[in-house]
Amino acid sequence: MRRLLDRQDLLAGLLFVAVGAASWSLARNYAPGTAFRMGPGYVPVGLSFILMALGVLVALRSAFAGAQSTGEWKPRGLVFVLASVLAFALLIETGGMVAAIVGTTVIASFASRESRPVEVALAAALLALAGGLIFVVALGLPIPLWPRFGA
Amino acid sequence: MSSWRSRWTARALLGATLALATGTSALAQTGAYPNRPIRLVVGYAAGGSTDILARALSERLSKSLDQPVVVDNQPGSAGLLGVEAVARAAPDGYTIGLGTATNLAIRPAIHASLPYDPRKDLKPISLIASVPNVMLVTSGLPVKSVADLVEYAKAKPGVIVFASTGTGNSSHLTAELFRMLTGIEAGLTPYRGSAAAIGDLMNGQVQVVFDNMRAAIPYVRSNNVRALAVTGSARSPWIPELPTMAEAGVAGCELTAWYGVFGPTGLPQVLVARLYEDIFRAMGAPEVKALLIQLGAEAVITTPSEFAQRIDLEMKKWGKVARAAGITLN
Amino acid sequence: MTELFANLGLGFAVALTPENLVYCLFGVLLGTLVGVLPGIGPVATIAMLLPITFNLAPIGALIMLAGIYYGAQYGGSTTAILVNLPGESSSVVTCIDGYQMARQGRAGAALAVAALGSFFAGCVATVIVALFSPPLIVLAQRFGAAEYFALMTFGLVAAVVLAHGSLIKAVAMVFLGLFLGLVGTDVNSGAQRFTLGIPELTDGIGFVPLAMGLFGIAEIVANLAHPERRELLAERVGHLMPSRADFRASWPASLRGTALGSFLGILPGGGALLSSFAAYTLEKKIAQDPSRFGKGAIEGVAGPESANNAGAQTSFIPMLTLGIPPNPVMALMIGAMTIQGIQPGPQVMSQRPELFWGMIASMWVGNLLLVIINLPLIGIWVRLLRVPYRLLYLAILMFCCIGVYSLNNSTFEVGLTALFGLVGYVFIRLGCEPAPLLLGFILGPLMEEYLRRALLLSRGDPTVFVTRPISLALLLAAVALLVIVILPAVRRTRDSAFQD
Repeated sequence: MRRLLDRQDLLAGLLFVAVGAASWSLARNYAPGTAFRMGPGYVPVGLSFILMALGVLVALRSAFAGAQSTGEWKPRGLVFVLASVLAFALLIETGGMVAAIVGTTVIASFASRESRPVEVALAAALLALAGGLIFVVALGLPIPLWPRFGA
Repeated sequence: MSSWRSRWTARALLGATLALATGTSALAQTGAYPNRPIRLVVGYAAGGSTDILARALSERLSKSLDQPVVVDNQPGSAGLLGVEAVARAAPDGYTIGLGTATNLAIRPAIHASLPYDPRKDLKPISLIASVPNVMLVTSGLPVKSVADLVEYAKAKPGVIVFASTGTGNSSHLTAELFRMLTGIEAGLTPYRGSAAAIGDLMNGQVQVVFDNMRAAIPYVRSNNVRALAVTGSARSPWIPELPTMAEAGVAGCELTAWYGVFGPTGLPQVLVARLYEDIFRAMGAPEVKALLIQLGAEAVITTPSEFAQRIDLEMKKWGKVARAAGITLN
Repeated sequence: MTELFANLGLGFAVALTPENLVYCLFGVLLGTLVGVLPGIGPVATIAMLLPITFNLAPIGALIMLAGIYYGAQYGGSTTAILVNLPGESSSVVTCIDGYQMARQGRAGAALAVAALGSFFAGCVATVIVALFSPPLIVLAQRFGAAEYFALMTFGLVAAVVLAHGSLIKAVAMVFLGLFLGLVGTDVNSGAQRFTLGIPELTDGIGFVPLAMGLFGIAEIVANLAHPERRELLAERVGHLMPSRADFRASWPASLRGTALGSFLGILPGGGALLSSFAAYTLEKKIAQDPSRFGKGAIEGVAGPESANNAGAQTSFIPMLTLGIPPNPVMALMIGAMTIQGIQPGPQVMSQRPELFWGMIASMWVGNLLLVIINLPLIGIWVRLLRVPYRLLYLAILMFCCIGVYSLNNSTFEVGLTALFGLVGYVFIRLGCEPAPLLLGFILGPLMEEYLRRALLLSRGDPTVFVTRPISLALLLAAVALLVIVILPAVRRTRDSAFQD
């Protein structure tokens, strides 16, 4: 079963069908209007059918063309990289620039097996310095450097 | 009994201490206000009229308040997100906003649901400037006045197409109001912004657009489009020969875009007064005055309560127009 | 002709004063910096500098702001080539072959060709602006909603050519992009579509979070999961300068890109967006061996880079002659002129010739300065790639995050970037290429807007697209391109079917 499903084109096709179906289920609630006076739903509904049809074609193709595996999925990098970006989003407004950069860098470092603790600490400090200098001092963006206490 | 009593005393003491503590700290805070940078939130992207005005104002305010006043652009949802950010901020005077007729009155009046009510969630500080809209027609159209236009549109129903510079903004609603007041039959095509609408007006794809004075002046001066009237209550110093809508025969077709500074509701009166005073002075500075001229705007300073009345009045007016024209947004 | 020389003479006299040279240099330097940094682009930079321009002479202010604009175009391609980060829509295409070149150790050649191609395009486009502004603007004014719709259709067909893998998957990706482009408020009715009740989505999905996630973040994840992908990047840095063969391959591509970009740049309302995509399509179509594209073909860098720079220059034409801003940067330039008390529009050329021609001359000077600055910088950029990847990716991530956040001060958009990073990694695993999706994303909302407007203005008459000559010609060209694209694919499938 797993071998059967692990085909790039089959999965891609199913993805397109799924997105098309989801869009259709949303877009059918929008007023379609007429060809002269198209409503907000006219174009999206048409597009969602085309996307579903294309998805079916792509999926079918996997049955004929040589099926290529999606390769090995390694979640470690993905999880920590995405977590580091989200950490930045959470930290930047309450913690300020420095905390956000240090947090992002440290979390992101877990994504690579080659990271070395001392190097990461040094990198975090340097990046925080560079980020603060370039964006806050030089470019004058309205981002606080440090957390704001008592507010 | 005694235990009850001592507990009561303890509570009273605690309460009094707390009150004293918060009282003094509030006093300390207002006394030293401002002691850290102030955010001036703008609900529009950097570079637009509102942003340019905010930056000019913030430069003057930074000097008079002796603390940096930082313009914080939070564009999104036709300027609504920026206002919402201010409405949700602490009423400590360190977050204020610069809003427009669109995001403080028109949109709140026509939206089915909005995360804020300007009359409840905001504290108006001061109106600072206003800009009239101008009625522009494509130069190929054989009309020289508003009366001509109405006559032409009645003779050939459905031929005239109005453009608006967006959906649910002052350009759109002025067009709706004009169609309602004159009873003409005309199409309405929305555009994304002023440049696209005026571009199509110039090559005759659409025939009429209401746009603000700043956007209109260069095209009127270069005779690429024809101006018929201004929508202010009085003639504009930029094109004084242009009649107002009322003078041109369409009484009640009046709309000026305006800009005003506001804070979150609950902003202490002392801070409102302090900010109003500083804004009043800033708007009088010669470079700010010069900038206003370039933006096609007139300085209009009102007190906080006058500003609040203005918002209330306009919300009622545009709510009426929107209901009559069947516009609701969500 | 003598008049032209007199005008250009006046322009250079203005542009070459020491004061204006300094403004120009400052502008292009700052532009390069913000172009290299992902996220924060020329729009934000110019907006932040607007208050400073109060106190400058009008011509100096405009020269500086223009310098930021085309400096950022140069800088943007640097990150696209080095780390697969397109900061702006114009550098998406550069990612395709430029980044592959960097992975093969030819980053230096790619950067040099990008810089020289841009310089060449800048020179030619400056002359075009000086010579042909009035006739070109007449042509641009004949573009109504129907013509724009036809142009976008053509662009969409061209998008399919961007992919080097499966054709049908590329088409599906274009449609996926069209959907993402529709998220937000419908221009015509003000209705919310696909926003799922999230207020931050009412203005649509931002281009930067999308491109940054699909290209930058996804690439980092893929590189970390598969160390073998990046060995090339770190170990083989190779020559800094393009070889003679590189030059031979790239100069005709630059020429064609310049021509395409110069024309598309004058169209307000989306023309310039198409220039780099169109140039890439052209190069791939006329190449003897199209299979090299997507694997480090130097023409795939030279053509689009020249096109986007030429387009950037000629997009000044509608602003200078009509006062109509074709893109947000030009809208800001008009803001700057307004602050200075200059009413932009057709009268500028006659009433303030020193301003008009001074700016044109400064564009040429600015382009020259950019080449002088950028060629020596290439060595430094390439050396950056020698930084071990375990440290490099930390820096890239940080600049991505700050860049996205600084655009709208929105943490939501940072979160969106992470989401698209995930989507992008899935795409890599499924063999789906993101470039066609991005073009669909850019064109989708424009196409719908023009389609609906064209039909509204023609009162529902669909023949408007074929009765207007420019629209008809563009649609025919789109059909022709479609046939050219599909025929070989069909033949290939048939051949392989027979072989099986």
